[in-house]
Amino acid sequence: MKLLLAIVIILVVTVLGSRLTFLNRRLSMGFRSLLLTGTEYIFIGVLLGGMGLNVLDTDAIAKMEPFLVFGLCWIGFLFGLQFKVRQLKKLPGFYFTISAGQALATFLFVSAAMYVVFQYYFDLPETVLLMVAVTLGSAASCTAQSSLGIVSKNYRFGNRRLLDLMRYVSGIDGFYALVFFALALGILPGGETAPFDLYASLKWFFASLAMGIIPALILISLSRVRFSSQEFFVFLIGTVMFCGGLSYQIRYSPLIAGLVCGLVTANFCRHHLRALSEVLQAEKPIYIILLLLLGASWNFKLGFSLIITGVYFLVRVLGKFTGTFAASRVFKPDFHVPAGLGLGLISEGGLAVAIIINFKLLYPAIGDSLITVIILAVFLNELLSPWLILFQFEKKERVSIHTRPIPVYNKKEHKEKEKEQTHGPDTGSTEGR
Amino acid sequence: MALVVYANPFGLPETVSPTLVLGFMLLAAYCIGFILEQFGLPRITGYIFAGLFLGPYFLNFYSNEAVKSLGFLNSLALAFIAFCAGGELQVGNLKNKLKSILFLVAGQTIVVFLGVTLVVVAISGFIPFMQGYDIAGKIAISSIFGVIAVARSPSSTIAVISETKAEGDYTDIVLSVTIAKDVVIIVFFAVVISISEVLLRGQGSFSLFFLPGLLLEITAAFVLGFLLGKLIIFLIDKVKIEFPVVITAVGFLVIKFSHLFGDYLNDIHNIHLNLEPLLICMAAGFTVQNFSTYGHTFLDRMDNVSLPIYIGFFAITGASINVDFLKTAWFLGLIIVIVRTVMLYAASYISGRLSCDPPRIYKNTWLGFITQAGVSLGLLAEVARRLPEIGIPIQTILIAAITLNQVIGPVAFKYALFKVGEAGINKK
Repeated sequence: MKLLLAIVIILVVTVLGSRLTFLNRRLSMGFRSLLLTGTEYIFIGVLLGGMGLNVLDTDAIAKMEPFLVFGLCWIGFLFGLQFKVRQLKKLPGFYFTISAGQALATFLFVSAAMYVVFQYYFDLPETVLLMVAVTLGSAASCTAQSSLGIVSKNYRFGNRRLLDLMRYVSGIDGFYALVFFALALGILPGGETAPFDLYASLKWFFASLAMGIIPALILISLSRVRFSSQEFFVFLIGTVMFCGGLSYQIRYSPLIAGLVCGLVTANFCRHHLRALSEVLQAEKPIYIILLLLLGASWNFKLGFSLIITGVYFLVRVLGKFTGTFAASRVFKPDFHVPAGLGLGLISEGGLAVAIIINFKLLYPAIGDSLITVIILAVFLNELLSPWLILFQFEKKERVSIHTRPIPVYNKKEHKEKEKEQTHGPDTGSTEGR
Repeated sequence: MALVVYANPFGLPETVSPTLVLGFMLLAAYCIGFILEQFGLPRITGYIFAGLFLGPYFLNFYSNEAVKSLGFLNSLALAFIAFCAGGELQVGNLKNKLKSILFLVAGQTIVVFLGVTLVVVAISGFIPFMQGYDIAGKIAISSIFGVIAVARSPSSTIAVISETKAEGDYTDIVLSVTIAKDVVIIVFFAVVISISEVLLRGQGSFSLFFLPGLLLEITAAFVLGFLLGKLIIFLIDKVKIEFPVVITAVGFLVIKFSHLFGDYLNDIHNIHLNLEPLLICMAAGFTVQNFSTYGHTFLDRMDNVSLPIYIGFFAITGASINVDFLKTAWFLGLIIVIVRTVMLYAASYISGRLSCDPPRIYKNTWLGFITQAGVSLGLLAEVARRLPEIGIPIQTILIAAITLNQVIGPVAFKYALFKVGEAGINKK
């Protein structure tokens, strides 16, 4: 009965949520950064979970496990689908290098800081501490696009190329984050009780690749024959389920396997764009459900988790700032980049959440402590990030749509312009990321 | 998959993850369905075979437990199929076929029931578990065989129609009769099982007091279905992309809540009121089709996601077939299948002649009614619950018969749709 009630609530929240959140609606920035960035689902989840009404209790969450596996693989797959090498080659190289620089710096800073802090608080073997620290580092290195979405809906900017740079950097760095996460999981592939073993790690690495490549090859082979849209839908769902289930069956990451599967599909399947458009449709509901489940499985305890969160937040900001500053000075774009650009990239959301949920799925005992850190950090980052993004643009370069009406010459043309400004030349998705 | 299951190179848990089983089933069943289609067989036969041969009794890629863990998908799929079945019924189309439909429903119910019952009574001397009963007992048991032989499978009918894109008089008649028989069988089964209980146990007296209760159950199901249909009409405009998911989930909840509600009334208030969830969903689909202008939108949107649901449902159905039962009772099952098919032919032929249908229809209608699946199995479970002393042997024989019908039925129906020239008409 409880599970049924939980399903009803999740369904209602998801359907209503995907209508309300991440929309192109113009709402005041303060309101949106507080309410409609996706973080609200974490709190709805908290309300439904063990710390609230206990509708989504541990048992109900455990029964959702197949969905979690599917959802995580779906997200990885979606991410991989956006990385078609031939398309990416057309983009300026500095997008990638700046993105990699800030992601790497953030990853290293946060991993190192967390490793040091954990040694004081956790009585766990060194390798386990390293794995947990590296996982947090990987979650820290990615940037969500939700805040950029909010800002671009409320302002028009003179320096559009800067906004594009931020969009691409935040669109691409998720890939690096997943690579770092793969590194983290590769440390102890046999479980938290096993010692570090290079052979096992290498085996894990190659098996992870295989777990993604095999389903992708199946998808590519199936889509060689003439098929209807319904059949393609079956191929996609079947491939993602098979890929996620296969990797989870052998205690590998559905997120990483999905990424590999998506990458192979994007680069070797003729129908990758069709796949992308189908997969994108389910993105919002899946993110919302993941956020709800994250909130529901939160078991907040006052004390060290607040300290860890504080350190995590500060070091992450430092990493973003330093990494972006250094990378943008070394790989100089042909336009002005403010020194504090990294501060505009602190938004944290869906992918970080997915990484932590995936980690908890594989290492439930340790995963719990990371949830608090991520939830608090996501909330804090989402709250500050729109203002820090605005801070990157000089006052004369930005115009609030609320203070100055935009002249409308032609309704259709205006709509197209607005759409272009809102979405920009994005790599595909996603505001929730 | 074989590598993971057999070689287990990673030394990992023996229970296969439900996500992996479902993903594998979807892809494998699709491929086998596609291959069989090249040989002129319906895809759903391929899905059933895939579930059966990859499952616990043959290649053993997944265990019985793994299949059971996917049981909730059956509820989801049944709800989805029931919505579609109701949505396919358009009063406007049915008006001029009403006579044929009524004759077929009545004819098949009477002829198939009487035919199978009489044959089972006649051969009861060769059926070991029936030998200890007197003639009243034998008639009672035989009538259970008879009533279950009347049941049909709306899910297979819908799936074959959807796969062959069939449209026309023949399709409408088969679909309408199947759905109408779904309602009739529930009432008829309740009457027969109550009489059988009295005859077998020889105690108490038969009373018809349960009939008002039964009518109340059916009326309540229709009323709830109508209200649910109104809710769906409201949702069609509000929910776009997620519509089929929402509707299927709503159907799933209807199924679960009606079971819980029935249990609650039974356990707490000692009231036996079972709301039939599939009737509710069918009535809801019917309401959307006939009491709004959204009938086509509703069916189109459901159709967009129907394929994975059908594949999953029939593959799970195939995987759930108990081959041990089939081995022990295949011969008796085969006799029931033959008798039932002959009776179906006779009933359809006579009813068609009486209702003045064109020959192309009345000569082929029987082919559309062979398949049996979920409803029959549900009724068997009820037999086992109410008559535990004969439940297991009856189940064994009838599951064998249902399994055979499940395999033969879709092939026959697809053949008939092509023969009457209605396959491939509904391009939409």
